[in-house]
Amino acid sequence: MRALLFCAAVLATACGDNRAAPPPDDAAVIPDAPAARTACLDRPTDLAVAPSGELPCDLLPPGFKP
Amino acid sequence: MRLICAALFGISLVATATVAEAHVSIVSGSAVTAKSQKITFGVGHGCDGADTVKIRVEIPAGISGVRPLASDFATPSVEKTGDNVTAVTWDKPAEALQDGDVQYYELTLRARVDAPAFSTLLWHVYQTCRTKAGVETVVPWIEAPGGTGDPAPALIVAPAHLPGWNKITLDATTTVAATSLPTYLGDAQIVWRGSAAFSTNANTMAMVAATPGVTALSGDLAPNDVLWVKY
Repeated sequence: MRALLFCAAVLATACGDNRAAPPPDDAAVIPDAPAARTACLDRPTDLAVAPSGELPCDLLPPGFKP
Repeated sequence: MRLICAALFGISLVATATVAEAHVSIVSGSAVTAKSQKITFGVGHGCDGADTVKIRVEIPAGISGVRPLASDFATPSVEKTGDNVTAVTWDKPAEALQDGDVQYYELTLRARVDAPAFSTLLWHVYQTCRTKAGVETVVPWIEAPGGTGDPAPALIVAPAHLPGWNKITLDATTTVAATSLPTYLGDAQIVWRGSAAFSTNANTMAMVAATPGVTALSGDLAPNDVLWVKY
């Protein structure tokens, strides 16, 4: 019985809250992110999705400024 | 009737093109400068129905450190000047002669490509065929582009690169004709010079046309041009 209680205590300790801290606010890093059209390397939090048939950011070179 | 004639003409063009493609050529794709790599020659056909029995490859300037590979076709031998290999010959054993021109052969050597990026190396190759009766024919594949003879195998030398983005600067003496972009950069997903882009992929070029502030790359590449190239 004492061993069982010990195991329960160990399990309770091991199953703590392992959730990661929330990600930083992207908008705070790149204030004008929604409007700018730059390479993925310059906007690492953006998805490489081509809007309306335009080049996706992963095909724009680093430092690209139209 | 006119339609039938046009169709037959089209078929004959295709057939001619197929035969013309089936010569001695480099089938390992583009090389990159300043690296050792395998270079493979494909022998698409023999000579007028006779089997190929020997291939001699002369090593052009811009190639060093040559080491040929043995193949099912033959064990290679090399000719040297000093330490440099100047030619490689694969000579098939007599008992391996085929009744006719039925086989495709590939012959490979490993070599360092010292030639600069955006250049093309022509290799002089001599193909010997032999009939069952013992009649030999030698076909020289040595003609430069634009000539009327059998074309020399051409090795395209592309710039060294890695997967992903590569910043490539043309050296002070290199120019690349706009028409040669597909030859040297055809494997790239996209090529940028400033805000102008090029790709051999028509869908990518359609996106280039649809993107504000971006133009299609046209005109020759000039010395010292800086390119961003994604492979």
